Amino acid sequence: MVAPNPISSSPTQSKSKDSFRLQQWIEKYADLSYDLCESVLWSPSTANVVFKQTLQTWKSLAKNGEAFAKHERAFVLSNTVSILIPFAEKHGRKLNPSEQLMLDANYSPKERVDFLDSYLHRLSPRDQILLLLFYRYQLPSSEISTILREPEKSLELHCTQILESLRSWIWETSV
Amino acid sequence: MMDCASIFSLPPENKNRERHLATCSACQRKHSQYQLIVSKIRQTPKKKPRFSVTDYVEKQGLGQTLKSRVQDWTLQLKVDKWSRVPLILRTSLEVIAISTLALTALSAVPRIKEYVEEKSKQNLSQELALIDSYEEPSPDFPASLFRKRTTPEPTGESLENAPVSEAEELNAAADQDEFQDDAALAEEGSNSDSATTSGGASTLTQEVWRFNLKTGTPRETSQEVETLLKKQGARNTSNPQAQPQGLRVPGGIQFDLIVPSDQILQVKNLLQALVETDEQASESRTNSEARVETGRTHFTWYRSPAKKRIPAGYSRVVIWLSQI
Repeated sequence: MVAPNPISSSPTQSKSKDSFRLQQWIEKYADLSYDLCESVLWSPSTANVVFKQTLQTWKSLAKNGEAFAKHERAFVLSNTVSILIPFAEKHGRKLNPSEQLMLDANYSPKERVDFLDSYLHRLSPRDQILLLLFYRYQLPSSEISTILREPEKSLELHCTQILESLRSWIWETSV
Repeated sequence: MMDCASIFSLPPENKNRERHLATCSACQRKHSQYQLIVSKIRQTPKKKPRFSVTDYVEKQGLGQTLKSRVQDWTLQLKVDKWSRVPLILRTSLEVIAISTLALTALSAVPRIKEYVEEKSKQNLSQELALIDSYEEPSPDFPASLFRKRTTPEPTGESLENAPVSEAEELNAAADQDEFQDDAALAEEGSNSDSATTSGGASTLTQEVWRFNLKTGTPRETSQEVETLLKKQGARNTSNPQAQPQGLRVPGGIQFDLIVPSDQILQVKNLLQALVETDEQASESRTNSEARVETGRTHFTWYRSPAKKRIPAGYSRVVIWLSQI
């Protein structure tokens, strides 16, 4: 049995392959990608915008998807992150001063932990994504380093620093 | 002993880290706080898109519908089947198919040509048969055979006052035909004896006679011509019931008439005589002046076959009274 040569395949065949790959991506990573968008952006409507934009770029990426078959998830998510970070920096919801005051007004750290989402949004979008990828989705650090284009070791250190800053906001500033 | 600051940068499975955490209460507390944060992050419910992603993708044409996927699959199967046929058999079949198509096309061209020619011949013979079966119209001048004027027939008085443009409109169609006739006449004028200034004329069944009269007083001459034509039984081409009347156009007056064929020669002679008498009168009037028109005649006539149908026994006569 001779393996099919990808170069000699007809345009219709390659087109169908691309669309099939796109369908697979959607089935596997659409929910993950959307959750990441909404967690960072903190708004379903803006998350929809970014997610739809991401789907559009996936279509063009599906043509080169074969080359990244082994690191498919990292490839797809790095694209999502590259769209999400600039959008979140520009249009992402940030805590206003009154909300920050309200957060700091909570006396006990237990109550503050309940508002962890708000504390998370004090972080930069990149830091939020790092925490989510590390702890929520529990991706291997090699994949996260590919997605965020940062060395693994520095990512781990960075992650510890973020946790420390969160811990300090919750426990050390309490009255 | 490990430093408390760097303990958490170590991987969780590191033994030194475990050992330090077991001994250092501050780091233990920190670690438990980190664990609380991490567990809180993990516990947050996962969000899902509030629209159907597959519907959106199909609507936007990003992916393929199931139907198109099946179609692609069947097409792929067909192509694969054909490509599996042995090369010699496949190429020979393709060559035979292409050559058969080419030969069929080549052989079809002359046959189509023959068919078209035959068809055109049939049409031509049908038209000729139709022309042969055409019957001559009855000579009792049915008005419907003739061109109908939408404008009222100009009277003598209105003729004088009529603006030139209106007269032009009335006569435009007739003039066009006449100019065509004149052009045809000019072609045959060199070798035929039909265009002459004098001499005998033989009558034809369907013919147009043109008389050109040059006169210094066309309006007076036209009245004389009218009386002359009435006697000869001439009628207007456009309105056979009306008396013959001239139409004033720029440069002169025109009569477009139908005259019995046997009266044509008489009409011609009378018109010629009319012009001669007019010439004599003008000579006597301007005796002292040298005659400019010396060597030229003031009466010419032409005869040509008619293009339009004329009732049997009649000929069309066009008289043109031009101003000298």
